[in-house]
Formats: sequence, structure tokens, C-alpha cells
Amino acid sequence: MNKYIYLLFFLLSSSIISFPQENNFYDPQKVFDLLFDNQPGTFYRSGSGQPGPGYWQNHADYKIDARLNEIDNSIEGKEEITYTNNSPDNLSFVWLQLEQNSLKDSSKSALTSPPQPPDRNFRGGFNIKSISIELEEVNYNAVYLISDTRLQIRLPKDLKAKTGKLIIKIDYSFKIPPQGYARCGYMDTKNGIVYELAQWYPRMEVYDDIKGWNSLPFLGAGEFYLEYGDFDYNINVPLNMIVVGSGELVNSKEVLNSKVLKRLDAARQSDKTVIIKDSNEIKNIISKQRQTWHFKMKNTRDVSWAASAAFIWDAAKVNLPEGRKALAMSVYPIEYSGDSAWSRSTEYLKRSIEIYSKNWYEYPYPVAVNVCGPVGGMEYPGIIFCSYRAKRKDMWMVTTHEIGHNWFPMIVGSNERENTWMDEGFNTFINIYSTDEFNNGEYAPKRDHEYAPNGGNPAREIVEFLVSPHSLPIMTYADAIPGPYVHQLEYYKTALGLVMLRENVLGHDRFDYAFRTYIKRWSYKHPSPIDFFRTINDAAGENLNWFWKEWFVKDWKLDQAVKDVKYVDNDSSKGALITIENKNQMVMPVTIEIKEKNGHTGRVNLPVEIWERSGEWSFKYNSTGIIDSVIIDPDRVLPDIDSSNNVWTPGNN
Amino acid sequence: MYGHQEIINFDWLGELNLNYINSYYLVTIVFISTLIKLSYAQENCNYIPGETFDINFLNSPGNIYRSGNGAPGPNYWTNQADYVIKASLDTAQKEITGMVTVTYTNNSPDELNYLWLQLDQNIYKKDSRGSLTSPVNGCRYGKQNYTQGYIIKSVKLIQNSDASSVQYIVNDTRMQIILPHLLKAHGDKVEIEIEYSFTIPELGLDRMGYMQTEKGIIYELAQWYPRLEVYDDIIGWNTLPYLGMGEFYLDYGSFDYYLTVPRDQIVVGSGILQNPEEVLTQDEIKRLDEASKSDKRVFIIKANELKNQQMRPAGKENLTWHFKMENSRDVSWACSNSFIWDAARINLPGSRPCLAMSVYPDESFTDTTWGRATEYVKATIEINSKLWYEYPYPVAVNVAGVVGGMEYPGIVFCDCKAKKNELWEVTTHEFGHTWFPMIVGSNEREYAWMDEGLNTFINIYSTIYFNNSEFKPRGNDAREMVAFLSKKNPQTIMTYPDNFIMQNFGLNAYYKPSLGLYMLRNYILDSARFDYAFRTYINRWAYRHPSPNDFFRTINDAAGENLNWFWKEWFFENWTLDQAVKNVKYIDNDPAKGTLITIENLGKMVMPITIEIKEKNNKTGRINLPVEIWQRSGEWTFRYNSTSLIDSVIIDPDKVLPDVNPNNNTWTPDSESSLK
Repeated sequence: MNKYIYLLFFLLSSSIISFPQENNFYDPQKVFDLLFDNQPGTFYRSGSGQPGPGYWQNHADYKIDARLNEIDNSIEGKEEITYTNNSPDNLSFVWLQLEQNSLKDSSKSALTSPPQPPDRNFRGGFNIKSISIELEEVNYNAVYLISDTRLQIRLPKDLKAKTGKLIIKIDYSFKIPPQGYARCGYMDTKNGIVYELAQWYPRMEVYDDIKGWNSLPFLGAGEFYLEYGDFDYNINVPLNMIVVGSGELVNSKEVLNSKVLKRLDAARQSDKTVIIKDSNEIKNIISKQRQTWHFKMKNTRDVSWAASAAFIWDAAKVNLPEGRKALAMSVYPIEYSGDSAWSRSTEYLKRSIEIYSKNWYEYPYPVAVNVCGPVGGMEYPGIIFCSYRAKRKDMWMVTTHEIGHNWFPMIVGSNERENTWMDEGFNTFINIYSTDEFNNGEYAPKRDHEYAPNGGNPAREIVEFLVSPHSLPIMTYADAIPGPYVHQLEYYKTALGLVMLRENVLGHDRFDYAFRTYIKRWSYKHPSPIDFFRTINDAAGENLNWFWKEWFVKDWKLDQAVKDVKYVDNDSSKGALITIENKNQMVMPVTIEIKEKNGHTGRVNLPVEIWERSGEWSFKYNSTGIIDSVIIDPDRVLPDIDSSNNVWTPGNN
Repeated sequence: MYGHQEIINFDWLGELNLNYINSYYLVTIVFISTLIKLSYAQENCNYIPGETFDINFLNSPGNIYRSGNGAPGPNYWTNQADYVIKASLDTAQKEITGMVTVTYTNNSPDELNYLWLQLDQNIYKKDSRGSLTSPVNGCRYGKQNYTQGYIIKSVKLIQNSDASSVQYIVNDTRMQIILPHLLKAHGDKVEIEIEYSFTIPELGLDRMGYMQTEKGIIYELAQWYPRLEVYDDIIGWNTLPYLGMGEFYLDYGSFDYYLTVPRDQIVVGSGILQNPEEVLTQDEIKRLDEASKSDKRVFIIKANELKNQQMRPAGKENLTWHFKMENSRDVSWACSNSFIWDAARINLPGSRPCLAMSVYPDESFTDTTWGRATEYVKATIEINSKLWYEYPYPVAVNVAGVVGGMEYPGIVFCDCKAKKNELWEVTTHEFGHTWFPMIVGSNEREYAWMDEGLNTFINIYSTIYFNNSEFKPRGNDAREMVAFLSKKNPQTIMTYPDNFIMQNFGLNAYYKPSLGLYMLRNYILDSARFDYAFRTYINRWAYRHPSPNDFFRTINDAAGENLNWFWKEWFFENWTLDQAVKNVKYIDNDPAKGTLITIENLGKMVMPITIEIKEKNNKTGRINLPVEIWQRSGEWTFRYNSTSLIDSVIIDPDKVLPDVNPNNNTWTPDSESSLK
């Protein structure tokens, strides 16, 4: 480009033009930051945000035999993990997760948690009886170390890069925590105890290309980061108990009678919920006899299960986009049944899965189970635990949310321990639209403790939190966010960010294509936040780094304002010069509504790039008469922290 | 400090383009008549060595695509776009109708679901982002012409010579094509055919357009066909919209293009004309041949031959001009029925034939203006080829027209009103762009300095070497730039081009980076080390896409110097330099025993030091201290072997550094006592 013109401006700038006096808060260069996320992609993660040609992840297959001891509420287990090192690195040690250890008195979790209400007398934790390993067909007693919720096995020789396989055999037991304050647990009901089992076997930590072993301890808030693999597990329980679990029951003929099997078959054909086992069939008798339920699940990061003699059990088919069918099921004690509560659970589950499958990505598993029990709401692959207290709208909300987690993080395996928003926020976002769509919006719009808890306009209701001293960047370690604000920040703010992108910045077409591209690229893989940002940029074809930075990396605020209105030659019929301002560090595109005295109303949409050089912008509006009012963000869809300066009326000048 | 007057010699400005003459006088008057009060950034107490000598700066490891030494890595790749374009110009409607067939090769290791293309013409739509972000009182390039942008008639995928429609969306200046099948990694190809048309804007953001001259219209065509965006290893698809300031980022490929125009038009374009016998007369072909053997200008069409029927092949119907260009990121062209046309040969180091040409209207033809255009083209290319890297194309054309100055591969558009030094400067600048970004294909949309700054730097040397320094170079005087650098400038070189406040753009994209390289070459390194490193950068990244870090790392690597302190302070920050002499003490109060001289670094920016010491006995000495004296503190004391009382100590005696406060650069016995 010719330099003369710039030379001229360059000269003028030194003597005549003074730099625009920005208001105190807004610096364009901070938000339109050329250095933000500008590192090149790697062999493992492409610059476009997709997995690179050398992308790899390790693999863990599990065989587990567990026995539920209903006398002392404990689990006794034996597991065999086959761990495959697909990484390009030789590994001289491996790390496993022992989350049950967070329930020890001395755990980091206990020591860093506010006093916990439930049974403080309970002392849990894994009792590791033995660990042996097999490496290159030689067996060894494992040399290991336990540190809090982590187990390190030091290998006698390196587990080879790219092909190496390690078999780990662990015998263990643990006491099941009461009431479910560790995302699992048990509770008494009229017809027997409901057991919800999760984090119930030592699990491989993730070794990745980002930082190697991910061994952040389990403190309670930060959830999980797990490898994918195939599971084959046996659950031994008293004969009177029903067991539901992740994946598929493979010995149904051994553990279920023909009547139940027939009803299950009927349910597989039915859009209406079919009772598999009803209230008349529940007898609270202690059974001394036992049987083993055998489940299998492929390509999953985890399995969980539940068991009880008190379960009513119902099911219905799920219609998936490509014609495949899945089965939605619910189990719940009789006292929580009823159309205002758990009797509609299967309907909620079925419809949620159908809606998400259609909108985003097909549900991959053959079965989905909703379990009524002590855990308030917790997601596992193909199985979710929802609160026995849930009713009506709450029941829908918790079900559609927990099953929504099958997309984030079960299918898209992000690192929950670090990036809560990548599962909770994305899930809350898809919940907003499933709620709109379910049963003609029976419970819409989504307004609950995850999203606009006071029931207001989400974009404006969040302002109170954003301007409070509790506001933090979304990209904060999950465990570093004070408990009361996790929902505001990770669920609500994240989801609102995506809603704004979809509704106000990109539009449905571009956003949905980009979001689906993200899911597709990263299904059964481990995306980092940058992979998400880059994929959306790449597929929507828009450099949104300004938004990623202001909304996710920083906790900047938005304050758009109308500054003044002047008529060209003081003649309103010649047009008006409208000046608007961006008074804080966050930027957004602008929508302005102009009303004239003569009844004309017009709207102007301006792209976010008007804020690239300054926090003040003037544009010409082709007014025909005197202007009555100028309103910025007339639909109130942006989190503007000071709406008092959004409206200009002639009196303002 | 009050009333400090910096006399700045603005002779080097020369006479600006007529368009700007009023402003120029205004500027000059303001400079000469006003006492300039410079307010210095209050950072004197803020020098923190670890911030400037920053161990975390540029310390991420290289990878298989980009090596840590700044060279392309073992798996470096770029995608390729080969174009066949058939376009016709309707001079009545001023409309281009075209069909482009692009073969896109995915050399990346990634599968691609979709392609992105640039629809630059859409910026001229009234509701484009570029239009909506242009200030009310005119766009950044003067008057804005609105058009309908690209009219896309069809987008088709060609498979086994069958064309089928393909799904696409258009958003502002971008088009996304959703591929029905994945484009596989490592060499898979896809062929796309697009039929389009657009109305030529009169003033196309000073990068294209048309102009009425006395004898006819001159059309300058650029951004004239849908072009592939770049998919790279850095961020994947580069889809920043075209807003005006940020220029282009393009992949390399071959071009085969056909331009159908009325018979009276002379067409010049990027690359080689394939069918001269169809579109030129035998005379013209003969004259071209003469020119290719002549160091002196040879006319192909003389002024008195304009509008002469004999100068065009007989017939009535339109003629189709066929051009080809290999290994280029773009092609542009111009045509007119009012072109005077001259040419001369260019002598390249490798003795490959090459032709310089100029086309211009009668009214631009004087001995001090466009009459010298070809001489300027020839000299620029010969000098730059010798100094840096050989000019790769067979032809170089300078076109006079409405565009003030704009570069394209093998063809540039320069202001038809430019004269004397202006025409030299704009020509050497626009052709200098052959090296940046035509050969070294940096991302102009993000990093203007990587082409404008590096180009402004090489312009210094083409100007010095041209015709015994007939003209004065620009962008190499540190003290001239102080007035601008020391202003409270909120922006840095590393800013999105579209984010620059207008008055900062010239500084940060052109002059500051140019001065930075000039200081590196002549003060921090030396010409032997710098030139080798700079050539290494060009060689490594020719026909590739370097990032800023690749540049910084290559210079570090080839010059063998960790210059991270300089890259950070000059390119990433807006820090200023303030070196000062603090005090002078004689050892045992006896100058014959030597002197302890204490100097200070008061700004955040550091530089090596040159100090001149004059003694009463007329002995003069110079001390050079490396930049590392500032690694631990902003104060440094050294011993000088004085022989008598010291008369003066001057820091930066040659005034080659942009010291924002030269007042404290000199120590004399008086200044010492006045301080007391």
C-alpha cells in the first residue's frame, strides 16, 4: 500500500491531532489482541482446532468384578486394567485416580472443604489389598505410592511408546459413603436401600500431549478427566435387587425372569413408557441368595451403576436420527413415583436424547438410565443419578441436564478437573434449547439455578453477578471457584456466552455448524479450551478472539451507551449523526433502535469492528424528522452493566 | 521540562503529492512555528531489567512445522491454489464478468470439510463491515464508492469433468463452501468453478479502480476474482474480513488467465503475455523485442501513436489477452486505450531475461515524471535482486492511474500524478513489495509491518544505491522519529492493521519497524551479520508463510544473537529510550589517574551505548558498551583512561538512537556544577 497517505497521517499525528481521549476503561488493543492465542498449531493439535495428524490418546480397557455387601454397605472389587500407551513417549510410571480417598479424614478434599454437614463420622477411602502388573508378559508385584487421591505405579521398565501395553490388577474394597455427598452413595427408602455407585474402581489418569500426566487431586468440585476404553463388569448383589448400569446388560436371561424380559421387549417398541417392574412386585425381603449382573460398554470413559430392591423400573424406546433405536429407562422407589415426579422421568430422558441427537450429535449408547436416589444430580455415561426430591420442572431440568452431559464430557472428553465450563457450560447451553423444544415448551424458557436463577432476562440478570466482587474469569480452576458462584460462572455465564454468539454474533446457521464441527472433531477425544476457540473460529469463519478473551479468559464488563445525537445542518430531515460509546473493556456488536416523532422506527446493526480503534463511534442515520429516542440494545439481549445510558431522548442533549 | 525545542529537518519530506500540498504546508508551518513541548512517558523509575531481558519471551519450543530456529520445520506445508480465469470487461457498464476455476490442493495433514474464499469486492457493498466501520466523514481512503459487490451466479464442484452445485454461504467478504466429501490430507485436490460478475468501483480503497484521462479511461483491476483464503498450521483457516486497512494473505499457485476487452485496449498484467501475435501488431512485437535488449527505454506505443488505428490489430471484435504466471499468490492487471507504453531490460544476477515496462497517459508523460518510470522499475529490481534475493518474474509493469500506490505480483499501480522523488519513492516502494509479501508470503491481514516495514527498510538501500543517491532515503533517522515515538502512543507494532488509529499506522507499520531494522543493521549488529541474517530469512521463507516469531527467531539464529530484548521493546511494546550521563568522577580527584563515568538507562527500552569523551587537552575518545550492561541495573559505571580534565561526555554522539530526551545525553563540568 502506498505510504504517502500514511506518512501524511503520521506527520499530522505528531502536531495537530491529539489522540482521542479514551474513557478510562476501554483500550481497544487489549480486547482486539493480536497476540491472543497466536501460537502455531502442532503435530498433535492443528492450528485450526482439530486433532492434528499425530493426535493420540492412551487407552484403558477394564474388567471389573465387584460385590456389593449390603450388610456393611461396602464394595469389594477386583479389577484388571489393560492400558495401552499410544503416546510417542516411553512411560516409566503411570498414575491412577483413587477418588474414594477424598473421603478420608486427612484428604486434601476434607482439609480444604468447608465443614460438611453429612455424616462426618463416616471414614471412607480405598483399601488397596494388592496391586500386580504385567509388562511384556512378565508379572510383577507393583511398586507403588499413594498420595491423597492419586496412585503412582513405578514400572520395572519403561512402558514403550506407541505400542506398549500394561496390565494392572488391583484388589480393593471401600465403604460406600452415606447420602451421596461424593457423587455416589446410598440411602434408605421404604422398600430397601438405594445404592448409587461411582468412582468405584481405581481409574487411569489421563496422560496427554498437553502436560503429560494429569494428576490434579480430587478435591470435590473439579470433576473428572478419563481415558476411553471398553468395559466388562460384573456386579454381584442379593437376588432381590435390580441393578442398572452403564452400557448393556449382557446376561439378562440369567438375572431377569421372562415376564420382565417380555416387558423390556415391549418397551423397545414403545414411544410410551412401559412398566418393567411395578410397585406390586417389590417386596422388601432380605435375600441371602445372590446373583451377578454382567454389563459391557464400549468406547466409554467410565461406568457407574445403581442397585436396589426398592426400584420400580420403566422404559421406552428412543428414536435416533439415523433410524437406530436406544432404550430409555428409569428406576425409582415407589414413594417418588407419580406424574409430577419420577413417573415422567423416562419421557424426559427419551425426549432429551432425541432432541440432542437431532441437534448436535447422535447418542452413541444402547441404553440410558435415570436413577432416583440420594445424589442430587450426577452424570455418568449412559446412566445418571437424579435427586429423589426432584419434581415437575426441576425433574425435567435435572434430567435433561444430566443426560445432556453425555455430549459433554462423555462424548467430547474435555478435562473437567480443569475446565468446568467445557462440560457444565456447554451442557447448560444445549439444555436451554432442549427445554424450548420439549413438549412445546412445557417448562420453557429454562430458568433455574443454572441459568437466570431469579427467572429474569438472562442477559440482564447476570449483571448483578458480573459487577459483584465474586466475578472471576470463566477460565479458573474448578476447585478455585468459591462454591456459591460455580453455577453463575461456569454454567450460566458460559451458556449465555454461547447464546450470544448464536443469537447475536454469528446467527444459528454459522454457530450450529461450527458447534457441531467441534463435537464431531473432538468426540471421544480430549479437546483443550484453545481447540474449542479455534474450531469455532475456523468453522464459523470468524476471528472471535476478542470474545474468547473478554468473556472466557477475562471477566470484563460491557457498557454500551448513546452519547449524543446531532442533526446534519441542524435539520433532522437531512439526517442525524448518532454517537455511541463503549465505556468498559468488553465489546459487542451494536443494535440501535431509533424512533422519530413522526412515527418512523428504524434499526441499525453495526459490527463489533467499530470498536477496533476507539471507544466512541459516530454514524449517520437517515432520519426524516425529529428523533424521539435512540435505544442501544433495544431487545436487552446483552449484559450491559449500566442500562441507564442506553437510551437517549431529546432531553439528554 | 518546559520549552524544549527539537528542530527537525523536514527536507527529507520533499514535495508531497499535489493532493496533499495544503496539508503539507500546514504540517510544515506547524512544525517550524511551534515550540513543541514533548511530554515524556513517566517511566524513568520503572526500568526493570528482567522485564526487558525477559526469559519467558519467545521461549515456546519449535515444532515439526516451524523449527525453533525460525526455519520451516521438517513437516512444513502450504496449500496450493491454481487458477484458470476467464473474464471480460464491459467498458459501457464498467463491469467484469468472469468464471474462475480453481484447483485447490490440500497439502496439510488435516482433512478439510469446507473451504473459505475471499470475496473482496463485497467490501464495496453499502452494508459491508468495511463500510459500516468507516467514519461518517469519509472512509480512510477518501470517498467511498458503493457497488453491489460480487454477484455470484454459480458455485460448482468439478468431479471427473462433471459440474455439480455445491452448498455455500456468503458472509461479508467471505464465502464458505461445504464440501460434499472430505478433502483428504497430504495432497488431495478439489476443483471449484465460480461464475461471477461485479461493477468496478471508481475508487476501490486505493487498491483498484478506474480513472478518466484526457484520451480514455484507465482501468486498474485487483481483487477481481474469488480467491482462496489461507489454511495454515497456525490458526487453520484465516478468515479475517476485508475491512480496508488489513491487506491480503494468499497461497501460491499458477495462474492462467484470459481477459476479453475491446480491441482498442492495451492490457498489462502479472506474468507473461501468451498470445502477443493475436493482440499486438508486428511493430509492437518488434519494439518489445528491442526493449528486451536495451538498457534504455524503448517505446512500444509513443505519445503520438495514441488512438492510432495502426497500433491495434485489424478487426472489430473484442480481443482476448492471455497471460500466465507461475508460483504467484495473486495476479492483477490494467487496461486502457490511452496508454503510452515503454520498456527496458532488467539485468538480473543470474542473467535470466526480464523486462521492465510502464504504461501511463499522455498527461503523465514528462521527463521528471512517468518518463522515468521504467528506469525506476529497472533500478529497483536490479538493486534489490543484488542485495537480497533475485527478482523471480519475467516482467515488471508500472501502471499510472487512480490508485496512489499498490503492489501486486509483477505489476504495481502508482499515482499518475506522482513526480520527481515521489514517483521514485512510490515505485521503489511498490516494487519493493515483490520481496515482501510477494516472495516472502507473510500474513498482511494480521501483520502489516512484515511487509510494509521490511519493505520500507529495503527502500532505504534501493534509494541510497539508485543513481548516486539522487534521492534521499526515508525511515532511517532515529531522532526525527522521536517526536512520534515519545508521544503517548497507545499502540504497538504488534497490532491488527484494522485496529490502528489512522495516525499510528504509518508509524507502526512502516517507519518504526524500518528504523528498528536500520538500527539492528547499523548499530546493534553490523551489515555483515545483519544482511546474512536478513537474506537467510528471505531464503527460508520465500514462497512460504512466516509468522513474526519465525522472523525474530531466524534473525537471532543467523546473526547468532539473542535479540529478544530488542524484539520485545521495539515490536511488542511502546517503550521509549532515554540514555543519560549521570556523573563523572576523577579517581583520587586526579584526571590523569582515570575517570569513573556513570551512565543511566531511564526508559524501559535499552540499547548498546556509544559515548564520546573530550578532554581539555583535545584528546577525544569513544567507548562502546554492549547492551548487557543493562542486564542487572539501569545504572552503569565504567572507567575511562583520561589523561586530563574532561570537557564533555556525550552519549549517542552520532544521534543514531531514538533517545526521547537528548538533554541529558551530554555532561560538561558546567552541567555538573549547575546540578549542585
